[in-house]
Amino acid sequence: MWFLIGLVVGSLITALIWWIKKAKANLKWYEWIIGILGLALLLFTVQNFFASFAELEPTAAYTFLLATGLPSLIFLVVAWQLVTRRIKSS
Amino acid sequence: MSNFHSTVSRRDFMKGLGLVGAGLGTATATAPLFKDLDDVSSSAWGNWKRPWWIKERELGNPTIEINWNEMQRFDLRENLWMPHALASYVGVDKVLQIFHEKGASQAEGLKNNKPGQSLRDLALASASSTFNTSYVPGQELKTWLGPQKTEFSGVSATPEELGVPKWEGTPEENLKMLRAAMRFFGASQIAVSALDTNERKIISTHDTGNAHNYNYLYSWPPPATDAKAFVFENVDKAYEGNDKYVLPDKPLWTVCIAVQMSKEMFRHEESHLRMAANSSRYRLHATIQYLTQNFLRGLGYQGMGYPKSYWGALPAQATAVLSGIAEMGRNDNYCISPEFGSVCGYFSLITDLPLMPTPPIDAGIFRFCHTCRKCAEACPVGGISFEAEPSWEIPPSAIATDKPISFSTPGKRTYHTDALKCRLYFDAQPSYCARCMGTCVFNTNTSAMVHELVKTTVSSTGLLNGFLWNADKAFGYGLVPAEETSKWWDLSLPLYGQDGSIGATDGGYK
Repeated sequence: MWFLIGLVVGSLITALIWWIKKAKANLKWYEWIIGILGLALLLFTVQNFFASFAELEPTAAYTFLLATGLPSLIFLVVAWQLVTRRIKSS
Repeated sequence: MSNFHSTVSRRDFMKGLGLVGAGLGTATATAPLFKDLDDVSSSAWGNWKRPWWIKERELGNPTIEINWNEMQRFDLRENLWMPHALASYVGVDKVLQIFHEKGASQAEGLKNNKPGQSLRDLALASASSTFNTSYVPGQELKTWLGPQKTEFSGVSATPEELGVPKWEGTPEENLKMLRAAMRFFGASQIAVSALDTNERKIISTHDTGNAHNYNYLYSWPPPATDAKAFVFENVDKAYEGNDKYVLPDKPLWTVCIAVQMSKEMFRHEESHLRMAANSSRYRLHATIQYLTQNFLRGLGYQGMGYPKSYWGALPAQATAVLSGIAEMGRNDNYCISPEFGSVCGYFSLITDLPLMPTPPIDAGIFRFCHTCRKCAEACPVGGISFEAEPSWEIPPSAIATDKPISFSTPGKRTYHTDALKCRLYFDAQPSYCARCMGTCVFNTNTSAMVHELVKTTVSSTGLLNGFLWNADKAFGYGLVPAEETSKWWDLSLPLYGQDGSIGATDGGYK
């Protein structure tokens, strides 16, 4: 599973860097931090979600989606919006 | 302009190189730091590599406070598993009433095919307890000294018989050797404490022997041949007499043996499945003890084990805490291991093979129990203390407030469980009870990475203990509803229902 996740995340990061160069985005330091935190939290959520089912703890699995998955999406959306809005305004 | 002209300036390129270099440097600096910490940790426990966040304490100084001056040898015949001991608090009639209640509730579960109490569940629990003790003819695996007569197959010849000197190794080498052998025999883990002047104070005065027999409800005490005394004598070898188990008065070491049990089955409240898991540790221990005694015999040493029943010369939980396998929990009837959690059995074996003692640990577990009250909340009779702080004073039982406590000993600052309250409920259930162990925050499996994060945090700081306790409840960890008990029969679980890879760092098993 982690191998596939690594492939996907690696591809996404490559695509992100390509887009940053193309759009001349030049991310701010806080945008990087929020984005990395969001990604880390998303990966944490994915691992615990599937592993909790394996541990026969479905309640824990779904609670992870809410407790850490939702904040991870919020972080990623905030980072995305900060970048795109700054590009639009410039 | 060339198609290969870079849009990255020299300044940005050097900045990027610097960042990558810093990242690599941080990673390199961090990895050997943790590896070094792991190596430091592992050396204290021989060939057992423990997580870096488990801290060592000095020998004889666990996270629960002990006053060795107050510690007294306990008479195992007074433990509440003995019908006589229970009757001394509540009367013979009550003990017999509970015995019949248990039978009746068991019959009701069978007749109504209750989840967890059906015929197949009971058959599993009964079968799981084969070889638990030496009471049943043909199942006498447990003895004080193990096999004593060399046989062609199955009993080791001594070095003397083989014409070679006995095994000599350093205490560190011997610990590694014994751990490798005992893990191979089925022990989840072992650790060691020296049977010094202090630890001799927790050797029981008597074995339980046949004192569990209900006939002794009416005549007490049992004859000395039926519940033998543990004594020290100025001899070179341990032996068993008619009325005593003799330990030689020379340097000895106590090996604490951890035997994991099924975490899943322990979440099943009072079902026969939980009982099957509970019995499994005694069954596995019988084999482990016999094989270890045999192994030690083959090296030229002795292993003094559990003579007959569920108990040995020392309380095994005490040896687990003193030797660093576990810390005490809020319920002072069981202790909690950072690796195995709350659902783990412990046993002791005394040997004259020189061994390196392993230090008690601090993984923040007992500190966590100061805040958490999950086991106390789960106890159906409120037998576990809700106090904020542990105490030296052993309070009287709520069941018999006017009677002094004879089933526990002073000298340790713990949360004192009302074991009498527990026993009266426990004995009346179809398959006893262990909700406290099953629901414990530390009874978690090992797949989800959050558990390691929680244990690391608990070990590092106590500030988040309240939050983590509540989070455990919010995430739904704990006991399984009774109606879901039967799902166990459809699961595909590991060998013996336990994770045997815990503690294994070689062979690529993890």
